[in-house]
Amino acid sequence: MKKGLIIGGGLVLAAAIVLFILKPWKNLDNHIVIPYIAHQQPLIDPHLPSSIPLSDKLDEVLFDGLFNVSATRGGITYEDGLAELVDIRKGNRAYEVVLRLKPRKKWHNSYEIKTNEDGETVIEDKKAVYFTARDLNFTLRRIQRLGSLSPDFLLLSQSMERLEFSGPDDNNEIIFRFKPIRDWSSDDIKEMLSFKILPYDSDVMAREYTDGTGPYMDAGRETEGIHFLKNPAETANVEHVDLKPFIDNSTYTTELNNGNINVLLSTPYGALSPILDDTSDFFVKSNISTTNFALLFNTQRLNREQRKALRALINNKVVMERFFKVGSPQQRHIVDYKGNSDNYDDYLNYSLFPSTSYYVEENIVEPLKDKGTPDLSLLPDSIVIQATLNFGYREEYSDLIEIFNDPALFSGRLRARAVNNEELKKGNYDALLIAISGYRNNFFFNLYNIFLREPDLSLHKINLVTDSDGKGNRSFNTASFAGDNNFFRLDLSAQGDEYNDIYTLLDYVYGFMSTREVSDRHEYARRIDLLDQEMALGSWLFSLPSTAYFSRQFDEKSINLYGHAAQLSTIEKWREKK
Amino acid sequence: MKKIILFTLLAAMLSGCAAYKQLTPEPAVKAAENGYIELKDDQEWFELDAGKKYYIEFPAAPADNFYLITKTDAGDKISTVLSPTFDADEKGALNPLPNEAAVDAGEQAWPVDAGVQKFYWVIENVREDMPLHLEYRYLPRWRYKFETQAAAFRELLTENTMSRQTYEAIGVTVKTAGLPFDQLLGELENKNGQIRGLQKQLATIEKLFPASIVNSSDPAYLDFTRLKEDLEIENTFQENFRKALQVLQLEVQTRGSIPAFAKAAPQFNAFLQEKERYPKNISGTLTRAIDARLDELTPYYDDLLRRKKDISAIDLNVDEITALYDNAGKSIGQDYKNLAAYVTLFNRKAGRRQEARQILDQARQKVQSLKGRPPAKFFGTLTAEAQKALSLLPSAGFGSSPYRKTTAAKKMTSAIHKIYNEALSLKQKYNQSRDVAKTLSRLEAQKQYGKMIETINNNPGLSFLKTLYADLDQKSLQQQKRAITTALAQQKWAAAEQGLRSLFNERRFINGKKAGPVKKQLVRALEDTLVNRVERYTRQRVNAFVNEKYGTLDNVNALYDNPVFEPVWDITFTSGNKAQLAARKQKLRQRLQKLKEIEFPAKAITALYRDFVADINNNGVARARAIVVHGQHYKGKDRKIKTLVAECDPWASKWLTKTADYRLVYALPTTSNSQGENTYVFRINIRIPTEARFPVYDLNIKLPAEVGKKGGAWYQQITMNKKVLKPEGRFSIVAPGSSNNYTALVTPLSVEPGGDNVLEVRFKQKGLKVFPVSIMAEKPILRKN
Repeated sequence: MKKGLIIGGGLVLAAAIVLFILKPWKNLDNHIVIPYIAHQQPLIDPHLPSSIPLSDKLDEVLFDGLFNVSATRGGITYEDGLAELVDIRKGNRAYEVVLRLKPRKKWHNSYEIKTNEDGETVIEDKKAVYFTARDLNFTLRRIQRLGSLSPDFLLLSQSMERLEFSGPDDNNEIIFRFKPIRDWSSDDIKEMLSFKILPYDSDVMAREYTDGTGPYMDAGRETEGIHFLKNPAETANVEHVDLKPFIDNSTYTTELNNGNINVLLSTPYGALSPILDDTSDFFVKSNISTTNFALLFNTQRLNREQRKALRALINNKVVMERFFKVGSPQQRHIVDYKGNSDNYDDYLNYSLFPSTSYYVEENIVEPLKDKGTPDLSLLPDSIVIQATLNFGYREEYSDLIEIFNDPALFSGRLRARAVNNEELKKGNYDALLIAISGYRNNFFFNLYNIFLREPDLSLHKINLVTDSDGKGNRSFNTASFAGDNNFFRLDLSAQGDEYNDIYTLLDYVYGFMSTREVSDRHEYARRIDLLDQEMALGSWLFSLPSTAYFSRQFDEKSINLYGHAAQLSTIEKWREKK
Repeated sequence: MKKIILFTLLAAMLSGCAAYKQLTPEPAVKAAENGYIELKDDQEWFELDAGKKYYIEFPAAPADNFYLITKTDAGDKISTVLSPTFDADEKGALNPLPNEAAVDAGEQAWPVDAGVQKFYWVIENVREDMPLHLEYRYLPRWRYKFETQAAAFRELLTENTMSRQTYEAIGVTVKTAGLPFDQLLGELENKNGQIRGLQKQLATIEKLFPASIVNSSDPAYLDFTRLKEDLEIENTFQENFRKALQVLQLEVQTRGSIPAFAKAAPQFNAFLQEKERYPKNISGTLTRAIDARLDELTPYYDDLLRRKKDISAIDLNVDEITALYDNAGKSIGQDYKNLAAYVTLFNRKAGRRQEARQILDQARQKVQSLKGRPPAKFFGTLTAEAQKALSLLPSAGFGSSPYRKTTAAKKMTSAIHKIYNEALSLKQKYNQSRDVAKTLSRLEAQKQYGKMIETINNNPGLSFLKTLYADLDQKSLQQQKRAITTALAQQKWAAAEQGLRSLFNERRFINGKKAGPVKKQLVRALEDTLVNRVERYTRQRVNAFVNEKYGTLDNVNALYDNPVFEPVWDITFTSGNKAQLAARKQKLRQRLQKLKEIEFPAKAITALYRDFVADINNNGVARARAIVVHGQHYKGKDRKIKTLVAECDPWASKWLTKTADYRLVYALPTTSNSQGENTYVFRINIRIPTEARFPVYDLNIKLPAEVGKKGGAWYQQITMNKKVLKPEGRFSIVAPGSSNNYTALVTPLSVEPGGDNVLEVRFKQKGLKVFPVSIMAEKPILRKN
């Protein structure tokens, strides 16, 4: 009996071990499963940057541009999307760019997604809706309307006098007229025309857009997640893309390790995870950082001298080394897309333009690293720092709060605490700890997101107020800085000691964001940095490395995440290991 | 024989088929003067069939001027003609002779002569069957005409014979005043017309008389002779009667008018000179009447002459009056003699004066009618005519005539004096004209129009010359114009200007009012021409100079010291004032200055630049430097020229105004070491319109391989607005090399929007030559990735 019990128990244990290893209830075959924070549902607008990084990444999943940017092992390339480049003709007044629109590209609403009797999801054809020049025209009008809020507008308006084209002719060819400002190469042109196309019958100002021509189709949103199915007309290798919700990002590595997800686009702390270090199960890929942490100073509670003193007080290297536990057994290791390891200093920031941003990397902005000696006499006894943990980066915020509250650091003057969003909105802080995500390592560094964002992290509202001169020229309105409508509590509604500099700041920010001229953007960037050095608007801490993990379910060679390209730019090429 | 018979039968058949049938009378027709002869066919009248045609042959007349008389009773049942030609087969045309018998004669008279062999009496139409009762005779035409009209002639004579009763009663029982002159003269005119008509008819018949009839005893001829004599007698009477009535009527009609009577003197004289033709009762009556009338004449004219106040000829033919005295047998009194002598003398003076007047008037008319140049001979003729007029003129007085103190006589004397003086004056004038014409002719041959005008103006009395030589003004002006234009054409500027000055000062004109403005206009035009020619020639000279020298590469500055840039002549004359002259000269100098400072350098620059760019390795540096020197003299505003100069001036910045287009510039040496190393410079001014507030560009400098192969060491210094550019920070100067087609990249190059952004590049290179460099600015773009 005992022997039988022992044998039976052994069998049960063996079965349990097999089940644990195989996890047949967690079969993710033919699925790409990516986590997201449940209360930060991604909303997809291919023409506007989002505060939720995953939103922008999904643009590549649903939509095509006339040309699509695609990552390769050594860089990026441009592939034909909804058009092919036929010719570039140099004329006296313009470069004529001849494109042939692809005539058989179908919109996703050409299909109907159903569940059959067996409970399987099937895709049936409906009346085909083809992409036409009308869709292109609608998209251009929308981008025009979005103006400086859209990076695409800036790209296009620097390239063309008018966002329009002629044609199509019988051969479905259209002609764009590019300004003769440079000797346009085909890659330049394809990059300018890589904006995503929406169908002409879309709402111009919809909350989100789901009908595209991209490799995956929106298959609906359920409590267990957001689903996308392979576009039957396209060549994606994996049938399903699923976004799976979680409370926060603290368990992402565990979930990957447990097989609940198979793609982790960013890790906590941006660091390599010790529990995912089994390279037989996972592989890691990095790309350029898109998130940084900063303390934004409240200009209504701290005067300029105080802010300068506070900035000098906060040593970001100390913060960062504590953050990554450098030198301790628990050190959080990092790696960048170039293969460098534990190069923490590369992520230290000395300007509102992060060190990994284009503006610093290209020496357009030369941040002042020497902050001087802090004059603590100018500072209040307690510097109140607030942070909200409910909108991502919970773990990171928590660690940072703890670091700021360490009495051994910063002369014990900082009092950091987590607050809810409502409290944050009141502005009762001397500094706001915030993760600024989604900045791109390109020209489009979204200063609106820093200076004009409504201080409500549940929203992503930009408080830009502009005036028109009736001739199509717009200028900023000082109502854009109304005191309580931005993190810095900048106020141009009444005269104050810093009115002129705040006005200049708004001028520069608007100039930076609205200009179509790269040189102007550079100069504004430089001036904003210099002005910030003078005004001491924040303490720019460090950036998070961008580290992604993938299950060995996928063929590592099929996934390319070259630094500049969006992570999902080649998702249709991902394939499972055979 | 058989043939003869056959031919005869055939002829008979053919004749039987002719259109006309010949009637052959038996006996045959005899052509001798005779009475009527019946024309029968052997005692029988010929029978005519209705609808058929016939003819009868009549032989020629025995002599000319005969009639063939035919007479039938057929009336209009037949139609006949007599023709000297006829063809029975209707192949020839008929020539019908006229029927000269009276309409109601009941016979036909056909004029036939001996010269025609046969006459054919042709019956053209027979309207019914009938016998032809035809008689004929031959007789001379005079006889036929006279015999058929003799009775009528005699009757006509009788009817038109004038009664002698009135004629014989004049001055006897009938007074002239009571005579019905008009009635009688009318009657005479009518009757005498008839008589004269008869005489003409007889004369016509008489012409037909054969020579043999004259002085013959042919009754018709004798009758004719008597009738002719009777007609002559009556005609003579009627003529005398008519003349007598006319002269008597004239005397009666002039009663109460001495001048009318005097004017009728020639008719009275003519009648009285033939008074033997008239009976005494008539000539005597007229003589008595004239005798009485002559007694009234002298007192009448004596009074008339004493009252006469003009010098017109006296309307009295004293010769006729004197003859009338003689014809009337009346003695002439002293008063009449005095009167007749005065009238004769006065009328002779009046006639001569009038004749002289006509000669002088005609001479004047000739002068007035003159066209063209009158030869001296013309005026010689006129002088002779004036002399002729002088010769014609009689002495002025009337001697001892009792009428010498009458107003008319005095006026006549005065008129003769006057016309004498006039003729004398004209003679002298024409004489003078002859001399002047000789002078003018000689001067004109020498084309001395000015002296001709002087000569004419010096003879103001010969005003007609001004008309005749009115074209001299134009000729004089044209001559001077030609002289000036010839001088201009030969570039004899001094002569041209002197001629112009002389023309301006010219005052010798026939018609100054008319010629003055013409001269003024001409002076202005020639003055303009002088200036224009001086300009043009100067310009031509400059053009020639330019064409010769534009390619000059050495000592270009010296070209601008060449006198070709001075006017070929310094004009001192002006028809305006001195200020205007100064302004004009200034304008000319400005023009020359323009030639020197604008057009010449512009042409040289353009030409040199064309050669320069055609082959920069062919004297390129020398050409470029020559262009720059020309450019230093160029004061024009043509941007194109200035640009060409700038293109060749290493120190001049070349504008770069567009992106994405390569602009060619020439790097030129600023030193002149022909064997060793030289410093090369080029400057670019980046003036690209932009919306950017802080524009930057990527500047691509495509270099010749010779320069670019030096890589990063290709340049000595690059400055931007005199600030040295060094590669540091973001700013870099990417080295040229074979991989980038020897293109150096300067990036990012910040520029000042709207301002000058002069990029100066200096580099050292062996050799003295021109290096083409292409520069292109590109605007950096915002990139998503």
